[in-house]
Amino acid sequence: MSEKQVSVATVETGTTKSAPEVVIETRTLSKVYRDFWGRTKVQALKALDLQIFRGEVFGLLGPNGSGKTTTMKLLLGLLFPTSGEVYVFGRPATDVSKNERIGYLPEESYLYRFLNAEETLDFYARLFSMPRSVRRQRVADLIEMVGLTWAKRRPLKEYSKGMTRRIGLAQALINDPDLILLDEPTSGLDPIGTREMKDLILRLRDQGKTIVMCSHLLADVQDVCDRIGILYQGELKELGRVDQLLALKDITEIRVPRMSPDAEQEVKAVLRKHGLEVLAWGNPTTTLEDLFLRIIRESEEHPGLRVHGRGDGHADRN
Amino acid sequence: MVEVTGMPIETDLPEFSTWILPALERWLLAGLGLLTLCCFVGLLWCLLLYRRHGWRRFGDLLVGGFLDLVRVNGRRIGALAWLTVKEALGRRVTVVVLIFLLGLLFAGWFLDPASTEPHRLYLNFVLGTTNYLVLLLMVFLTAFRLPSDIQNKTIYTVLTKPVRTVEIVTGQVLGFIVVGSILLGIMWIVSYPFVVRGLYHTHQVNVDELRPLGEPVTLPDGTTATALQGWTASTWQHRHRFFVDANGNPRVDRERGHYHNVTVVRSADGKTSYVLGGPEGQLVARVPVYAKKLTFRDRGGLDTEKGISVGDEWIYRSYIEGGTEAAGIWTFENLRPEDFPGDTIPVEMNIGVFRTHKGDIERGILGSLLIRNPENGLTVELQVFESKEFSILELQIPKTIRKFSSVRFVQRRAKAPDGSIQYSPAQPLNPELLSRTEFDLFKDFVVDGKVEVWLQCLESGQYFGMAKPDLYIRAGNRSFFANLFKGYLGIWLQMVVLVGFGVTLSTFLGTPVTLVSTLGVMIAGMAHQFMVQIVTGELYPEVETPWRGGPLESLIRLVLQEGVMTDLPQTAGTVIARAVDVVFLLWMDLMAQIIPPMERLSLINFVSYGYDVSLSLLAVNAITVVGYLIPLVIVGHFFLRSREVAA
Repeated sequence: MSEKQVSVATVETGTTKSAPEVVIETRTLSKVYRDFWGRTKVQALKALDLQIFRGEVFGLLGPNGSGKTTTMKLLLGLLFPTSGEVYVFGRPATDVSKNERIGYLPEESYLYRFLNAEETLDFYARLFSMPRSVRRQRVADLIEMVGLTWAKRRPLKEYSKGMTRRIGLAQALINDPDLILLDEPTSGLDPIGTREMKDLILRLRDQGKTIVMCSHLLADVQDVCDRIGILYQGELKELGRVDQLLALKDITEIRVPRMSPDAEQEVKAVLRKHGLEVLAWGNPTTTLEDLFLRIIRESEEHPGLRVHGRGDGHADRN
Repeated sequence: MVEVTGMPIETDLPEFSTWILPALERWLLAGLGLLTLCCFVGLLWCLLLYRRHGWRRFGDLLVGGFLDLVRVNGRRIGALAWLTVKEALGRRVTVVVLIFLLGLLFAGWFLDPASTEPHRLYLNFVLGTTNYLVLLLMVFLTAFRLPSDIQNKTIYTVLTKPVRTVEIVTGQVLGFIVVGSILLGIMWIVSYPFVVRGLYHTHQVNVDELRPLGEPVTLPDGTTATALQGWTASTWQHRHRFFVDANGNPRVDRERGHYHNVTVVRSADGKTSYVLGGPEGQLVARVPVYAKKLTFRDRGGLDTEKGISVGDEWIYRSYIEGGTEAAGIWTFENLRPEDFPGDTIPVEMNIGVFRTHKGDIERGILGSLLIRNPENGLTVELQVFESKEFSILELQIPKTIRKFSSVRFVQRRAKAPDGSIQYSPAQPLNPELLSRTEFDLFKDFVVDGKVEVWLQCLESGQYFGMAKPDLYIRAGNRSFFANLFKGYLGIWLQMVVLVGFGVTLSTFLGTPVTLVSTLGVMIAGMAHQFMVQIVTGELYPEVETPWRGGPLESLIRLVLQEGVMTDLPQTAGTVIARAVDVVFLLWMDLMAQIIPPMERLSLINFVSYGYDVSLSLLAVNAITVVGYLIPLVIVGHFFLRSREVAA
């Protein structure tokens, strides 16, 4: 089996800038799905060249059938490339030993429904050959982290979708992985769960972990991803940093708190003087997610009170 | 001489020491063939799917697959086995135990304890039910486990951990074995009291109905007493002949395979009564000592390897002609006096009888049992017996032989390759020996542990059929409880090999196909010997055509209403049908090599007929199962490894 080491070490020499460690590398990666007779059914991925570096959150975007999940499965070794190469931590994706450092949260939490949360995590921990004492501690910590301590003895078949996603996330983190692959991580989660998931992703990134996620929810991707790749019909159409890709370089936005009407007139006059057209002027809106989370938080702080929204971001209490 | 009705084990039992090396050689050859075939098919598959990248994919698969085999981790296998057990329990396998217990609960309504051999009925029911229940359960469990994992995609979360496919296959096999072992353990424990209690009965003895037997005898204390005889009361449609000798010692005769121990109770008023215990001698594990070889003597007195064929009879047995010099000669080896502590050595035999004229069908055919010193040819005729079909005769060879019909010097004569006759022994016997009236079995007949037992048919025109296991020395009895356990071990071994097939098939087939295939393996395995006989032509040796018939030819004969002995017209249809049948026969030959011999693994007959299962046979069966399991796990590993589970 050929095995290629792909710039695993980061070396700092004198004044030279340290090169980021490549965690995932694909070279002209293609995947063709064939029928029983070997005839081509669909070409799911076409010559994908991609590098993902250590410590970044990378988002794979694209409409249904664009090849996101296929890419993810090829990275995991659940599918084999028709042509091209895919390396994870410098090893071919079909090498099982790479999985020692990988955590994977599938789109649906494909877990054994007859096990309870403790048994589930203990089972996956045993697959990493963890000693019993380490296993117990890790299982308890993760159950607490995903907030399921109260339900740890209940079989998963009694769990709601959100709870199942949480335990699915816990199993993905059971080995404290260096690379975490998340397929639609916020799918099935309520806004609070979504926020928690996004916060967790950012926390994991801060710990130096590499995260690859694919999602339909563009806002979520925008919130957490450092870089994104956009796939369409199996081809990589765009690749780059989110802030750079989204920046509108010929438009300037100024934000100031509580601007008085006089100041507003003066600013507009200055802009007119320089021949600039004001495209939009007004108060920026918060996100619906922020509004929802604030209302929930306030409701938790003042239970039993009825709240009427005024539409201005504040609430009247009766 | 005691006669027990029934058929014993009618098969050549392999001896571990002589079996293992040729078996290992065959296994390695078959493994090599399998490996070559798998490599060829695998390469074709890779080239078809990955075209010009197929070679590389195949290389990765082969090298990576073999490396995986040496990197297996016990802890992961344990985890996967545990998961399999948990899932099986989740699928309510305990229901099978409940069905079994319910079966036992109501079996009493249908199992007739008054039948001729109730112990065999009970044991066959218990072991047979367990066998089919457990095997069918395993067929279903294995067919659902992995395919449903793939269908539900739960396999994703397992395969994305550092798990090797060989660990998945091994873990599942072990998990199912654990489940099956628990079930079989429960069934074994429950079935023992069921059989013992189900067979328990006793009889009353009415002292007043006992009649004097023979003349009064004077006892040492000077008193006289007469032996008594009579019958016990009838229970379950049988009764026993009851004897009390002149000394007052009672005994009952064996009836329907059992007898009862008798306790003498004397009341305060001096009256004697007899209390019979439960049935004895039914649930036994006889230990047979088989002869090293069975050779024959033809009607003219020449040694031959085989007897004669009597035509359309089971070829398992060779026949000797009655009223001639023909004999069956069993040569026993390694007999030591200390292994037989009693005054006699019990010999049991089950001789096939082929009659060319009916005669008195109720009467058996007369035969003669002789014992011969293999070195000096001293031969005594110990006993003349009456042999019936389907019955085991129990004879006793006394260690000190005083009663015998005749004593003579018998030379064995064998034809040398050059056509001359060789005599053994060459020298005649010391005539003094022939005039003796008493012989010591071990001093006069056993030479270095070796002795010959001869059997002859005394009635001309009648034939005795025999195979090596048909006559054996009964060394004693072993624990029936332990033998019942061995019976369950036989079921366990069948279960293990079936689990191996089920799991391996499920690595590349869906649930319905796995279910049908594993069921097919089970059924074909149970008819394995039949299949081998068809393939090797053993079943119809008189048919010499290379194709020996087949399904299509049979169909043509059915339609044309032609018997098997008539020649079919040489039409194009017949030629094509026969060609297809040849291919079918080749396919069947291949299947006969692959399908496990489930019926050979089954030890139910040994237990129900009361034969101890030897450790040698257990070892042969266990190694056979391991021999199947190892390639099955490896093949399953490669199938799963080469499969895109997420496709």
